[in-house]
Amino acid sequence: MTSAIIQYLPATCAAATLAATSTPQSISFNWWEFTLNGLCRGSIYALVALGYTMIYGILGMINFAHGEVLMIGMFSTVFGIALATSIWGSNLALNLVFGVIFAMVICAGFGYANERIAYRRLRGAHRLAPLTTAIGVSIILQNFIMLTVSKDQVQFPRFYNAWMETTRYGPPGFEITATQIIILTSSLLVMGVLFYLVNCTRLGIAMRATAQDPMMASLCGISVQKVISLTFILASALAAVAGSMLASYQGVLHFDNGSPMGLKAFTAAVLGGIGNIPGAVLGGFIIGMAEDLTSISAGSDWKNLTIFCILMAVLIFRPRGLLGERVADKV
Amino acid sequence: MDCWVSGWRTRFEKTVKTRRSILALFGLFLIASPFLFSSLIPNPANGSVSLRLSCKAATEFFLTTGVITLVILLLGPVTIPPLKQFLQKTILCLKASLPSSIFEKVPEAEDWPRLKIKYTRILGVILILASLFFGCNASPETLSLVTRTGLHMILALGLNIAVGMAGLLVLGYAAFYQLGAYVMAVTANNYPWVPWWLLLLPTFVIGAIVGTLVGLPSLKLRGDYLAIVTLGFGEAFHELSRNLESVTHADQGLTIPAACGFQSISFHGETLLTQDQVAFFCVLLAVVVTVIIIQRIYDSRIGRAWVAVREDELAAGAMGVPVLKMKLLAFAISSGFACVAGVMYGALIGFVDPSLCTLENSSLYLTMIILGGLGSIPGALLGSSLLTIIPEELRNYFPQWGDYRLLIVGVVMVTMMLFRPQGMIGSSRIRRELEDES
Repeated sequence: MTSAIIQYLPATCAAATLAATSTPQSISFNWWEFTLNGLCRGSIYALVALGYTMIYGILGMINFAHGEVLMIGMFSTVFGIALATSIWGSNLALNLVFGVIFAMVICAGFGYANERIAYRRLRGAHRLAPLTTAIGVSIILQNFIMLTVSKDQVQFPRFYNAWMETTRYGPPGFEITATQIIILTSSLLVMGVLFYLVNCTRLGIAMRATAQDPMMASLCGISVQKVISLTFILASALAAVAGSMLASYQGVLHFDNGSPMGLKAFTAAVLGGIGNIPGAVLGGFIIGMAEDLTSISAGSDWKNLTIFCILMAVLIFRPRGLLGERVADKV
Repeated sequence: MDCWVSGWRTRFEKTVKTRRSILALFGLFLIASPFLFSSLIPNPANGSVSLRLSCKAATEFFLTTGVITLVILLLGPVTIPPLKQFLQKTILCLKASLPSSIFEKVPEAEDWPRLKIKYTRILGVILILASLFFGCNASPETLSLVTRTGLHMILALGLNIAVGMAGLLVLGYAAFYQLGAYVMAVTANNYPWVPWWLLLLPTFVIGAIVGTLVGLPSLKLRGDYLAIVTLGFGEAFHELSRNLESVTHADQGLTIPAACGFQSISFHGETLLTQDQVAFFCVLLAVVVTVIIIQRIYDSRIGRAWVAVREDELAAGAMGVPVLKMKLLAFAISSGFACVAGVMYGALIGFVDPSLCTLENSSLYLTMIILGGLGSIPGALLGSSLLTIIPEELRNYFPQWGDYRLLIVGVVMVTMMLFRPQGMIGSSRIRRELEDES
């Protein structure tokens, strides 16, 4: 695995240096800040990539609408906070937690509806059909938010993330903001819960069985339909948590934030080995770091290009990803 | 008894199903309601935010989508299939009523496939003659709209090769369109003496090469990867064209000298054809040539191989079809046609900037062929003309239509795939493939 990472490092560095040579900038490199920032973005990507990987593992298809579910999560966090504020006033921690839970419920609903409406009828159809409906659903969700909420950027309520941004811990030079602590700990917590769920519970066993062989799983008495729905609900709830984090981290929300995030998270999932849960986490962290490296060395205009180069490099040199064991080409 | 029981059971299942769908719709409404029935009120004093109930967004949303859905239902899939059946019946009846000395025998319904080819050809010739007549008489505004429709037809036909014929989903098609336009613009700015039509073939080759390079790593894997790689290529190309200021002038765009675009033809100081008319006839010629080329390829060994790969890759490979080569060929030809359309776009508009290459445009082209019929050439022509002309006409009546355009694109994609996967005039073969392969 180490050799694999070493194999990929040159590709990333090459892309970054290529970008750096074309727009020279003065670089003030603070490795501590850089690592923390990369880890935070990476853990958000990892949460989204987990959703891609779980759905791919079970259905063998890419859920293009997953990035939009993350976007819905960002917006519904703000709506949840606003709802709580209207009901019982401004209570910092309580309202934030309520916002996240609200976003998880709404996103789980959207994820289930997505599976129910767009994919269930097309199970067993040609691969083109569910992919196309997925694109259609993602366009619909994006435009729904644009038409009903706002065409412009929406500010994340400053009251709730200002103190997190300004509160810093640690000695000078090694400071860490409260936002970063919250993002890192809660994403690790959520990932831990997910690993427990997948590895140690009956639901997890059912999910893994369905991923291996849906026919055999249904013969063993597992309700495949229910497992698939639950996977979508779980993946969407993860995306909602990621969305809440991203919303408070960025401070602004826009209806087209979803699809680029989806693309990056998908690259993370492929990099780690699609269908592989620890791989998605590793891939997310690597993509977060690579993106940060690009924006430090070349400017944030080159981020998507770097991500695309990484995706192509992975597909050319190691299509099964860093941790993927079986070949990605599953017929 | 058995029959009665099964009838009862299906009726019972039907009620349960309806009840469940109503429940599901209600649930969908419930989870969408926070966005529909409330608006955010920011509180600038302490940076907090609160919620206010309001039905303004919801009423506007439902009213506009309702009107547009009605229009589409009236124009679209509801009218076309009955119309087609009606036409088919009328032609058969007409042929039956004519004396059989003119035709060897009275045609039966089984003769339809053979007759269809014949009639499609006749219809095509009539259409070409009609558009020649149209081109000489139409007003400049209509002519430019129809010329743009022609460009979209070439794009839809090209995309149809990859998506409809070979079964590969391509999501970054607009990137190739823009690549062609940029090649045209850069050449025109550096070598103004090169006429635009000289660029068609080299640009096709460039497009095919870029398509091969993008497609090769992903086509070795499953089909899904091509979708995401082309999506990423679209984003990356957009970013590249915005960042490479020395070549593309970023957002300011490149202006193409008028001498390199379409020129009016004059004879002894008298204008025979205006610039718009020349553009129209050139695009018309290009569409006809594209249709003929694609039809010939589709009827050849290569086309058979594409169908085989689309239906079952494994079986096709086992029968000796070079699967990877065929998929690459389909994708390369398809991107080549996009580049050709891009050159004509450059010659027509005379200005290229990065706004052409967006996911919005790529999904619009995809929707054209899904609406018309995957894998069907008349379908691609119909879908592209509907989705170019109707929005343009609707924009005059609904000013807010521009905001709802993409939503409709998404809704058309999903509903067509769910309820009529073969599109408006697609073949039943595609329907069988897309519905249940299992």
